[in-house]
Order: sequence, then C-alpha cells, then structure tokens
Amino acid sequence: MRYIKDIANITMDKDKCIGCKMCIKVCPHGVFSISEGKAFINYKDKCIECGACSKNCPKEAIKVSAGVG
Amino acid sequence: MTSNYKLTFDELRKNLDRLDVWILVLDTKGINVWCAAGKGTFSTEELIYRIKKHKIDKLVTHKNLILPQLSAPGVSSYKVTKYVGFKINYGPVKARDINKFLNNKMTKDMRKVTFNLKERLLVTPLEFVYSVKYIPFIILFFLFLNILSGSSLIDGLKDSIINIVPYIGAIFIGTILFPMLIPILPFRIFSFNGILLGIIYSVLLFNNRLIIYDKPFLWIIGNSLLLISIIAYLAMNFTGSTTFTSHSGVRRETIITIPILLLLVLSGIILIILNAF
Repeated sequence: MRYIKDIANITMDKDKCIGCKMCIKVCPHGVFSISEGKAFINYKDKCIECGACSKNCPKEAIKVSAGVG
Repeated sequence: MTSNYKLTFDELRKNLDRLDVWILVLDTKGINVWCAAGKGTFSTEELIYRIKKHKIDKLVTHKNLILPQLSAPGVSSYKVTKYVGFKINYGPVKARDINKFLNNKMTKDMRKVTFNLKERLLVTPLEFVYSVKYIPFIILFFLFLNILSGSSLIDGLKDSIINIVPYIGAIFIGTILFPMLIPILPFRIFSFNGILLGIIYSVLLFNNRLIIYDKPFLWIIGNSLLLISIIAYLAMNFTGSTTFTSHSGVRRETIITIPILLLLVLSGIILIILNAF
C-alpha cells in the first residue's frame, strides 16, 4: 500500500552524516539505507513524516516537516 | 519507558511478567506512545524530567534505558543521554516482542509498522458508528422535500426511510469496505478510490431497477451523486487512521478533494430538489 508519490517533505545533508545508523533504526517504514558508510533516503515515498529520523540524528543532518502524526 | 495510556501500560506489564525490570511511566495525558510522540507529550523533556524526578540513577546500577520504538518521533535519544548519562536503546514496536529483544533475538521487522487487513478492520467500527449518527438528518431532508411536494407526514416518512437504506450502505462502504480493499484499489488518493467505489455502487444499486427504487432519472442521478460524495469523503477521512500517509500527502489530497466534493454534493441536492417539484 502506497500513498501519493514524491510528496514527502524530507531532505538529508549527506556531508553531515557519520554513519551511526540511528535513522535506519528508528524509521518505522524502512525509508533509509546505508551505502559506503553513509545513510541515504532510499524509499522516499514510504516516508510518513513522523520525524523520528530527524529527532534522533546526532548531527541534525535530516530535515522533515513533521506533522502531529 | 512507556506512556500512561491504560491499554499500553497493561500490555507492557503483561509482557514483562517474571522479568526483573523497572517500568518508568511518562505523563502523556493518557495518550498512547506513538500519538504522544507525534504530539510532543512523549518528549525528550518529559523523559529527562521523570528520570531526574524519580532519581533513577539512584534506583538502578546499570545505565540502560529501553524506549518503545514508536517514541522515536518525540525523543532525541542523544540529547537524553547527554543530559542524564543513561544509554538509550530503542526496543521493538510491540510489547510482546520485548522478550526477544532482551535475548538478542529481535528481527528488523519488529521495528516496522504494518497495516494489514486485521489491523485495518480494527479501526473501522468506530468510524462507522460515528457516521451513522448523521442518518436521521438525511431522513429529515427527504421528509422535508416530501412534505413540501405535497405528501402526507406518514407517507413522507415511509418514503424517506426507504430512501435512506442506500445511504447506510454508503456509510458501510466508506468506513468498512474501503479500508478492506485498499491494497487492490487503483488510485493513491483515497477519495478517488471512494469515488470509484461510489460509482460502482450506484450503478449496481440503481441499474437493477428494484421495484422500490423505480424512480425518475433525476432522482437516480441526484442520489448517486450524494452517495458517491459520502463514500469519497469517508474514504478521505480514513487517511487519518492509517499508518502510511504523510501530512503533506493528506494536505494535497484534501485541497484537491474538497472542491470536487462540494460540486458533487451541490449538484446532487439540486437534482433531488428539482425532481421533487
């Protein structure tokens, strides 16, 4: 089941990523994956903008327009 | 850590039976973990406050806090660690998987949220009951029209009650059938799927030319438009009950759908009124 394509308001600054994998751990829908030691947004359309990733990124590399959920 | 929603707390307690652990309950105003996290009551601040207030560092020798997976939208774990010195670990989504988590046997899917048929059906009865409340108003609308066009109170009421049956069906389709069918419906926008189901429903309902619905063309089209609108609206409403819609997506859907619904509803009402006179 998928919702509207290409609408999730989520961006990531790859330069700030230290590869801690917290985003991968806290995402309830598996949006992130890891490649060459850095995380990246792999399945943007699965993102529900819950904000767990951005809240738990120690380098504040992820920005999400999180609603109330 | 957990919320102070009774159902959550009881489920957690039940699954921690015979384990030597402490439970720290946060004041989330009686709301469950995931909603509270999104709302900001299951927060970094509340967590730090409770840990300091109950002097948790004096209570346990270890330095491990386990948080529910779905509290992550509300908690910056690295900030909590910085302020209270405890290490934060996110446990599974479901309390019943905690045992596996503690024994290092947790799988990745236990950090994910699903929305299968059973889970979808669980949230539908409430929406159905909420919507059925509006049936008397629709009966009154039909009754009013009937009386204005000259029928007696008794005949008008009988006719209105017969006319209302498709509307109860529409509410069922919008609140229960639609959620069941989501995986096989063609559109991503919920209201569009609602319109599709509404069209199919109306065609099936009125094409059979049931004797009791042997009504003029205007009546059929007018009521179809209303039935389609109701199903589309209820379908759009379901975006708030799912685990896979985003705020941005729902905003887009709402902006597109509301004008369409207004058009359909107004047209339907106008046709029904025209038919009555």
